[in-house]
Amino acid sequence: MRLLDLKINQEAVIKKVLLKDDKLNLRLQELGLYCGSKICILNFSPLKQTLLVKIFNSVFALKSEVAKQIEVEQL
Amino acid sequence: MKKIFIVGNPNTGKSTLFNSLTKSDEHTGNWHGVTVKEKSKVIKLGDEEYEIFDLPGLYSLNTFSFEEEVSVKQILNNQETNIIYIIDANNFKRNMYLLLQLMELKINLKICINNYKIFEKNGGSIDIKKLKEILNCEIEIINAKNQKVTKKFFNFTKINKNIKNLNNIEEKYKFIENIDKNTVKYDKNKVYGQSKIDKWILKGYIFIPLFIILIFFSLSFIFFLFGPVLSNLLSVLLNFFVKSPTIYFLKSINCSGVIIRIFDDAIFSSVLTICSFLPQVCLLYIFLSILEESGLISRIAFMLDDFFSKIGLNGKCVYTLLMGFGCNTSATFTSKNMSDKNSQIKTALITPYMSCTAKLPIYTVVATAVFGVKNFWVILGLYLLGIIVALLLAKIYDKTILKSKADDFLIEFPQLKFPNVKDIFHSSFKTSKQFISKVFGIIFSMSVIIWLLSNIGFNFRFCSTEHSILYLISQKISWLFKPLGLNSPYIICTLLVGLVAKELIVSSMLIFNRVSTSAMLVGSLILADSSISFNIATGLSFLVFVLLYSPCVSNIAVLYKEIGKKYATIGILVEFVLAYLISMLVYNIVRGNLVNCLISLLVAGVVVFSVLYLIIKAKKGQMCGSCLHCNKCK
Repeated sequence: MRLLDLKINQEAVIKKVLLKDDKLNLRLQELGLYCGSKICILNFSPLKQTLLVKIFNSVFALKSEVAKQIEVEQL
Repeated sequence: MKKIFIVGNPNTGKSTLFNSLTKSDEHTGNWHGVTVKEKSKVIKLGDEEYEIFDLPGLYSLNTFSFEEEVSVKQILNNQETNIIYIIDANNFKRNMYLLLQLMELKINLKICINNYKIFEKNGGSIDIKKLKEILNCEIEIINAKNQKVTKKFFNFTKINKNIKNLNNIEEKYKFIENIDKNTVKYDKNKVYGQSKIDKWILKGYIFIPLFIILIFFSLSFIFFLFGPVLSNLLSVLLNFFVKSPTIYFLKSINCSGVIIRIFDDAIFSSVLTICSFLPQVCLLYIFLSILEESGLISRIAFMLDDFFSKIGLNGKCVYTLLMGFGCNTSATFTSKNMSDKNSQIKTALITPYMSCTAKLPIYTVVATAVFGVKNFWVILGLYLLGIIVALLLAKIYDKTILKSKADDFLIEFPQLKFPNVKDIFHSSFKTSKQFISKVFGIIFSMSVIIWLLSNIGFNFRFCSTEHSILYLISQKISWLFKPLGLNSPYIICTLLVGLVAKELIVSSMLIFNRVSTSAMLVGSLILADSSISFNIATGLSFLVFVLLYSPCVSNIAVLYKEIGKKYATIGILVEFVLAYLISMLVYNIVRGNLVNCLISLLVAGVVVFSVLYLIIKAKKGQMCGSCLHCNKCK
């Protein structure tokens, strides 16, 4: 399943990051979105174009378009 | 001289530590991108001199934004230098990644752990001894706000070899996980990351109404309830304790009449009056500081990102636009934190439409004079009009000359916290100081120049205002402003001097009208027989023109520097055209003059259709979207 398919507060492990943008891909991995790391959605913006995710103890805002391209496995 | 760089992830307290070490007063805030360029200061400890650098925050040495490039350039160009690396105890794992990257370079390193008390309060602890053993490096728990400067603090460990051979990101994070397991303890019952309040307020149907209510009440508090009372009080006090005794003294020593007039008309009537707006400026800055310090700006950016992405921007521009309500010039600098160049240019171009504190005295004076107690609604309307025009313009820019690529809005959420009252007052005191120094610097000198220009003719002799240089120049171009109802040369004079600094508009009004400071706020400025008078139509037309026309000289200079000649020129021209068209429309609508209203609508229509034509052409692929005359894309 994709990160965007997760429900709020559901935990998952990242399986694959399928982004074509290498720079963004690298940045996400460096922020902790690498294969095997735990991730959890905390909230969505009103039109669900942006979401809040928890990586380690940090909270990041991320575009839904990006979340669609992150494959996860629900824990 | 030893060079020391303060490095770390965004929002870990680098600028706060820099301020403590160097006794500086640099801007700090609970939002990434507050520092967009490096700052440095030299301090002396005994015989040794240290140059301390505060670098913009970064997550990695692989840069992703402009401010990260600034930091990485400095670090890589100054290898074997001294680095103080700040770790936020609450974000230990993520902060460790950049540290491992830095440890691969040959540097002298000292690790400082900040915000440890908050981490402890949340039930966490870090075994510093063990961490020192693993990293083999100097580590100290600090309080960035009150860090004492001692020679011992500048003890660094030379990093000669990698602590482990870590080739890729996953390996690095596995190593970090390992360190975390062995040295950091978390309270298992505690949920780290998002606060309970966040869970409640970050819902569209709660947050957006709350945000509107917050803005409405804050503005009414500043402009209607508390601000004017304090301004009036200060105005009376300044008049009583400064103006009257000085004039009395000058008369008692038989000072020349010209000097007394300069003091009375130019210095006291204008400079002291602008000073009396200090309480309102202060309150506005307190409001902005609360938003910034509490971490609310990130929440606003997140909730409004959907909307901003529809106009080719993203939530990150919220910070720049909100800061624009304080000062457009300093806000323009912060547009650098937009990840895409076109988004940066767009944000910089729409920032001047946010009514800055310099426009506040103009709104208050004219709106009070024309609308009396209903002035609040006019001021609120002007603020809203500026926002609406800015958003529409951003959309038009996005569809024509400044197309943005699909944006990757990627920001970190700082913890939501109650702002420290001391910090809020300190920040507003600092901005008030800047306001006063501006008033007694440029406004003071310009007021004297305006007074001279409005009292000296082309033959360089004193004359009546009607024969003065400023009046005659304004008279020559008054035909241009006739369609806006602003054909009085006095009003045109105020608009001309407003190009230098907006505060000068009120200043020049007072010089022309010779109004005393204490009488101003009750609306006696615009008397029927005074030089400058407004009715509802001309008053509104004037206010709209002031809101939309060119920003001040310092903002123009920053625009040219930050976004280049081409876009800065386009932006300023657009501002003049919009100011002219919308003022003309407002003037004719209020007067109910149908014919003129139709003519102004026609002119506005021609302009709008020309823009739409460009948009459609760009959409059809006949233009590349980044220039106005391109045939290459055919």
